[in-house]
Amino acid sequence: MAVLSLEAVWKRYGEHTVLRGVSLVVEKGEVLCIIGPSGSGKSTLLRCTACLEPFSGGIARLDGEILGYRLHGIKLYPLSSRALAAQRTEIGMVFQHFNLFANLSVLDNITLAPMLIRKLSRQQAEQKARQLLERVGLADKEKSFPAQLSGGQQQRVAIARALAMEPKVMLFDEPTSALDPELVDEVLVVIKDLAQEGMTMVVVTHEMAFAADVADHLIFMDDGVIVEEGKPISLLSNPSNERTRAFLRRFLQQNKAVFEEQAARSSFQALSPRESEKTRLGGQLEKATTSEDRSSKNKARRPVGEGYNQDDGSFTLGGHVQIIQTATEPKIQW
Amino acid sequence: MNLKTLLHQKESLASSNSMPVQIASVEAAPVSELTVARQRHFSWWISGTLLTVVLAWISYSLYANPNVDHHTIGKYIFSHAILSGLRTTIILAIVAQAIGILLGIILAVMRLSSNPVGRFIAGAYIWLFRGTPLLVQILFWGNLALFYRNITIGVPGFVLASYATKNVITAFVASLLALSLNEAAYMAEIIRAGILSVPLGQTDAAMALGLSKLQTFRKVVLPQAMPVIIPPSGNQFINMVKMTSLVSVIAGGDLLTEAQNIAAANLRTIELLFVASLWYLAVTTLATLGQSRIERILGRSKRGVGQAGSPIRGARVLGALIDDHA
Repeated sequence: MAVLSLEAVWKRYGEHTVLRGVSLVVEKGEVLCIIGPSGSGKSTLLRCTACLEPFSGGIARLDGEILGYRLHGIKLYPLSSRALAAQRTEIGMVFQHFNLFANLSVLDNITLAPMLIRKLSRQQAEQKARQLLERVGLADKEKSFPAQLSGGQQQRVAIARALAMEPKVMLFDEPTSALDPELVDEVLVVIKDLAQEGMTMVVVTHEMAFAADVADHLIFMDDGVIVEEGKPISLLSNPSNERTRAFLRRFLQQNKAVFEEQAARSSFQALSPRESEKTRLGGQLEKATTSEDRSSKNKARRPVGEGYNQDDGSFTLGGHVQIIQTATEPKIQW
Repeated sequence: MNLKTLLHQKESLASSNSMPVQIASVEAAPVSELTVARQRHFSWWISGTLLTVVLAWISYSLYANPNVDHHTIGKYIFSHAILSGLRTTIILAIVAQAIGILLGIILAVMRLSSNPVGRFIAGAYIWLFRGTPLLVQILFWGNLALFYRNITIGVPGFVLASYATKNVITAFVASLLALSLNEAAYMAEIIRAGILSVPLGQTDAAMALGLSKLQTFRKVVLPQAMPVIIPPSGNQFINMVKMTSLVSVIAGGDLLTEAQNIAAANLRTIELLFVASLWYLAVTTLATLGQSRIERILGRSKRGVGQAGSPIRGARVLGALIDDHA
């Protein structure tokens, strides 16, 4: 069942139209990545989905419940701020510029909303916050203030803060765009980790290799519409739309060799014994490690072959991704 | 360009302008042994001496003036009437400032709200109270009984309670009303600036987590606006201490009122103005100390030379440290 669905949503700012009828569906446990040029409406789409701004038209649903409105007959009535706030608690949002509360320590950043809204005691909230900090690798930073952390650390705290509300879906708005290149990976590892645990996610990103790696489904947006969508590997390696191709030109050139090799390999219709062995083994491993939340449908969606390595979920694209040969070494490089 | 050509150029420059370029000393000792000579500031000494002389002369003329009776100042400075006036002044300043801040927060939020009526009312309030002199406002409140004889609580046709204005709005109440309502207009603008200084992303993040508007304001926005609001509020309070003296026009019972009452009886006007001024100075000095303490606490998170108020920064802003190797 779809966790999140958008049907023909529009967004206008006065004369300016940002979204022109976007529809999409995100299944439970699915990772949807959205790519596209600046100003194409990706961030607006996320902000509207997170109920931070109302859509101008169309309907968004979370677990079947209409976001931001109450349907009565054929009329949509805007929700009260109270009901709207309740809906926001079900959606985790991670911002490009982290937006940690500058006046609060790392721990207080994470416990604030659970204590105020979920009515957890300080003890419960802090215990949970410490678990989350452990998970994002920042257990020793709970007393720090946001200004004392690097961008990568701040973003990981922001992810922990969103997770503390146990949202049904996580939205990431260019989570690594404001980071120094060397800090990007530590954030991507955390997001990938979440994906493997079966969290339903929508990620707006400029990291193509990352999108290819974690996404179950990839969308290319331009000028407020979905131009092209599909499985990440096929969309990235062989875009059918002219606009998509132009956008991906630099990425495609960088990875030309890889794609050509893949094309050649597939034309032989044969995998080396080693490759087939890996695929078989990979299937078993995935069954063992994937959480039950992940529907079998999504597993089927996972591309096999084409440079995708099921052992550890890494994907081979030029210099960006390296296949990690052993499943015991979880560190992945993009 | 290597060192050799550089030295050559300097030498040719020295010979052409006959300037004593000290290349010789560079060559005479290793660079590690060179020391920087202390720069002499003759201009500092001249201007400093001049200012000291002028100040000393003014102080002496004040002290030695035969028309000022020092004994009277000493006699009244701790007198019962003056101390009671001082107490009223301090109470007026603190309570008016507190009401001003609370009302200022409400006005600032109204002015920033999406409700056009709220925005308009707050704007009109600020326009009215900042646009008329405080002295005039004090006179209005002090003479309220002239155009509202009674203050009535109830709905038209039904009177719950009615009081004579002159009994309710005493000189003290009129003073307090005038000072706090005026202060609220100024505080509203300071608080508005503080709220606007908080990045929008902070509100986004709080709302995205499901906090209500009020929770977002109390837990996230206001605490972050405080470092911007507090320093000018300190200035407002120091001003407020002095502004209370204006209520002497409606006999508000403050320090200046008491001083004037005594002066009216013994005709020692200048001496009692000195008494009042000494007390105003004492209170404002304490308030200034408190303010710089608060600013130091607030500034702790951003340490460094660039901190506002440090003399090094002042000199640097004026370009002094770039010229003088002081």
